Formats: sequence, C-alpha cells, structure tokens
Amino acid sequence: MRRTCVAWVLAVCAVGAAATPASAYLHLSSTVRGQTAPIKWRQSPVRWFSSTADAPGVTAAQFQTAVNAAFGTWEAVPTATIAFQYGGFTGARPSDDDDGLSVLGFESHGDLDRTLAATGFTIDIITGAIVESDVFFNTAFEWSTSGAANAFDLQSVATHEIGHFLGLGHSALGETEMQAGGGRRVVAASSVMFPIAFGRGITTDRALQPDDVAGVSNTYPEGDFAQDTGSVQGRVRLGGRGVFAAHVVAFNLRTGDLVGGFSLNAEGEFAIAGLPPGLYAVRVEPLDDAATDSFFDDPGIDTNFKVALSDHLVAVPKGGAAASFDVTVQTK
Amino acid sequence: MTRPRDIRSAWLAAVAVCALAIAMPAAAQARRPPARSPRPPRTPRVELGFGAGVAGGLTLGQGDATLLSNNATGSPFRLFSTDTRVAPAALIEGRVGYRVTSRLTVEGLLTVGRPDLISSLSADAENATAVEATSRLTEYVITGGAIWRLTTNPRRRWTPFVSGGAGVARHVHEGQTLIESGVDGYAGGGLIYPVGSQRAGVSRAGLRVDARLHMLNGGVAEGAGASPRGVVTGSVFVTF
Repeated sequence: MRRTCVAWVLAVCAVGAAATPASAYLHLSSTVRGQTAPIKWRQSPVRWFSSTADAPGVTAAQFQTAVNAAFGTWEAVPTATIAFQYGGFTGARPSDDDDGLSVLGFESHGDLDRTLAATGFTIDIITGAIVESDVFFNTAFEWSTSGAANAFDLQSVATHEIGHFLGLGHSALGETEMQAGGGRRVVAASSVMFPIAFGRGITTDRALQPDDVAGVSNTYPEGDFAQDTGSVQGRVRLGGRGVFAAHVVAFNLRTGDLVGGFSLNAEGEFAIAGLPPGLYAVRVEPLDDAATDSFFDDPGIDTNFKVALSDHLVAVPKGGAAASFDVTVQTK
Repeated sequence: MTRPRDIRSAWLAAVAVCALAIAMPAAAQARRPPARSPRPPRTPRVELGFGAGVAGGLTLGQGDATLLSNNATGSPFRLFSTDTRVAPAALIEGRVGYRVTSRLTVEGLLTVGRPDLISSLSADAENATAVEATSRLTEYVITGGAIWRLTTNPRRRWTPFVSGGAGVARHVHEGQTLIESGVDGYAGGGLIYPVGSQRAGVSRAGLRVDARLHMLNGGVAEGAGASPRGVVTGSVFVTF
C-alpha cells in the first residue's frame, strides 16, 4: 500500500521569502527509512492539467498557453529526460490535494501578500516518488502573459514553479537589497530558481540559466550526462570548523557559466555536480540574500562570515570529481 | 645418323662457354689493384639533442562572472572579474633529427613544462578580497619540424638557422583528472656551435640555442584563439 504525504513547500515571493523548508543544490529531498532520497517523478511523461480559473487580465486559455510554454522550456533541456503531457482543462483546484491530478491554476490567497505562487506535492514516502504536484498562482497579484509593465510575467513565474514541480529547490544565485518597506528586492540573479522574483514586466526568467540546467539534468539525466560532466567538491571552513549552508558558486572560466550549491553538513562539505569539464573559479558567500528558510529548515545556518574567493582553481574532469579542497572564510 | 654428332657439338659449345665464364673473372681479378682504396667517411645524419629553457606566459583572457540585472534587458551585473593566464615556466626538451642535406634537417621535438595556471579574481560585488587562484599544469608538446642552415661554411663556428614546425600540445591539469589537447605551431631560429672532432665536415657534437614563437590553438587556450608564446632553449647534441 502506498503511503503519501502532502506538503506545500515552496513559493516564489514578490518582495520577500516566505516559503517553508526546501533542501539544497536545487534538489528537494525526503527522508525515507532514515535515508535522504530525492523527490522526483519516477515516470515520464508527467501529465498535468490546467485550471479553468481566470484571473484579471489573463484568461484560462492564456494561462494554459503560458504554462505550456514554461513546461516546454524544461522539456527542451537536451541533457535531461523529463517530458510532460497536457491532460486538458479541469475544474479541480490546485489546492485539492491528493486528487490524483497535477493541476496548475489561479487561486486567491489574499493572506499570502508576498507569495506569487507556490507548489505542493503528494509524495510516496516509501520511495520519494512524486505522485502529484499542484501549483497555484496567487490572484492577489496582477498577472500578464505579454510582459506588461504593471504585472508579473506568468510564464516566468510558471517556469520557476515547474522547477519545483520537478523536485528542484531554490538556488541562491542572486543578489538582493533590503527595501525600505520591508522585504527584499532582487538586484540581479542568474537562476530561474532564485526564490525572489524579478520585478513586474520582466520576462528574463522565461529562459533557464546554466544553474537550472545543471539542476534538472542532474535530477533527470539524459544518457551520458553523468559521464560527460564532472563535479567540484570541498569544504568551507571557518576557524577550523565547518560552515553549514554556505552558498558555493562555481564559475566556468571558459563559458562564463555560474552554477551554485551549498555546504550541506557540519563539516562544511559541498559538491556541485553536472558541470561541463573545464577550469572553475569558486566563490563562497553567506546565505543572506533571502530568508534562510527558503533553502533550509535547519536553524543552524551560519551567515556570520565574509564573502570569499577561493585561491584554488579547480579543474573539473569529464565523468568524475575534481580533487577536494578547502575554502577558508573569515568572520564578519 | 647425324644426330649424335650434333649433340656432341652442343656439349662442346656448352663446356667452352662455361670455361670462358670461369676464366673471365680470374682475368678481371688479375687486372685489379692489389689493395682496396679507403672508402669516403659516412656523413653523420642522425642527431640527438637534449636541453632546457624557458617558455613565456600565455594570456587566456579576461572575463566577468555576471548575473542578470533586475531590469527589462537583463543587463549583466558583475559578481567578480577574472584575468587568466599561464605563467612563464622552465621546460626541458628532447630532440631527434635527421640531416637530409647539408642545410636541411628534419626533426621531432618533445618539450615538457609545469607552468602555473593563474586567474586573478577581483572586483567582487560584495567586496571579497582579491586573490590569485592557481593550479598546476603539466604541458607536453610534441612537434615535427625542420631547420634550414643559412650557411654551410665549415670555417664559421656559429651556424645560424631558421626553424618551423607543428604538432600537438597536451595539457594535464592538477590531479591528472582533466586533460586538454590543442595544436601547436612554431617558427623561429637559432645558432649551432660545433664542438669536438668532425667527420665528413659534420661535427660529432655541439651546442644549439633556439628561439621560437609558438602559437597554441586549443588545449588550455581553448576559446582564446591562437595564443602566442615565446620559447628560448639551449641544448647539447650528438650526431652519428
């Protein structure tokens, strides 16, 4: 008998992170029999349904077209295998959990004044397989499918939520600044999976970035992906001890691609996989550009250290891991 | 009954030819001088050389790690800057050549160096301290080429030459987990200084100084286009 649990775990926020826990290096995970297992779909294509609900300025048909394009963006990643199948319109609501349908649609959540959209899962707690995933788009905000300057771009936000739909967590590959009225504003980001959305009228997140491609390819690898790519691994150290949840970024000196990850334990160990072979520079920063609970539910996150550039150039091999190295950081 | 006589005539003719054949070499031998004249000395054609030198640095380019700005165009937001190069380094080389003519020698060349790969990381958006990130590279260059002596006057002690060739470069990164290959071409020149005795006008050993301009395409310079680098070596050689 399959046992399932339902959780609404992720959100993209307009002006501040307000989501519940997620896991790291873009992978959501679940504890199964004491072991951490990635949350992912075990079958492909994944069938999804579009809600018949409209929102001001966006019809259900326009919604379906925009979301279908967002699914197509993920499906087009050549190094990943995931595929989707549109099942049609449905009167079911995204918040109807465990109804056997993966539904995406508009819903009103006026109480979530900083949450543009959120993704929920029903998972098989024995295997970690996603059984159902639903996404609501909050009609408390203005939406557009044409990049209108006064509304959030539906396709961009849908691309982010579908990343969660696939089992990806948040990326920290972005810089933010505090706003006078509270919350944070994105200054720049280089991952669709950054937890805070770009501003109204901006359609940048319709396209995946290398960080997103690495994440989905690592979760649903196509053919020889694992043999054709390699990984960076090491430890983030502060005063002789490990740093948990430091944000580690690998920069490919040849392609200019940026891919992020995190140190995931008390030893400060990190690993960033799915990197094309080549030379990489590494940068480490504290997780201070969004609410830390957008990434981890662990309260032991250390953000009291300065940004550091590693003095070690890393040669990432094909189909393997570069030699482990330490990045030493200093307290602020 | 004439057939037996014909056969006898044929036998006699055959014996006569054989006798002539045996007698002629003896006659020729009798006409040779009593002693052999000395053979001319064989020209040494194979040359083996070994040396060391310095390879200049290689510029691999500058670049910025950028994010997409929160505006309509997604203009680049610089996270930090990089300036990457291969540092100058010592090298050793081995060479085997074949002297085709008095001026032309074709040769194969192997050079091995262990330069540092350095990237200066700076201008961080959050004021991280600038650093020089490094890793060690082992470089093997195998080329085939030729040298052309500009003079063959044996009275000149220094023989100038020009050289050129092409081959492959293999770059093995630290940890030996990443190997990159490229094409290396060179042109240059140098001087040869003979030492020791000579045979057929060719010295048995010598010193050689090379200055070459190498152009690397690919390998560690992948994406940087044809990257020039100077190499200067000194070597000793023997011929046989």
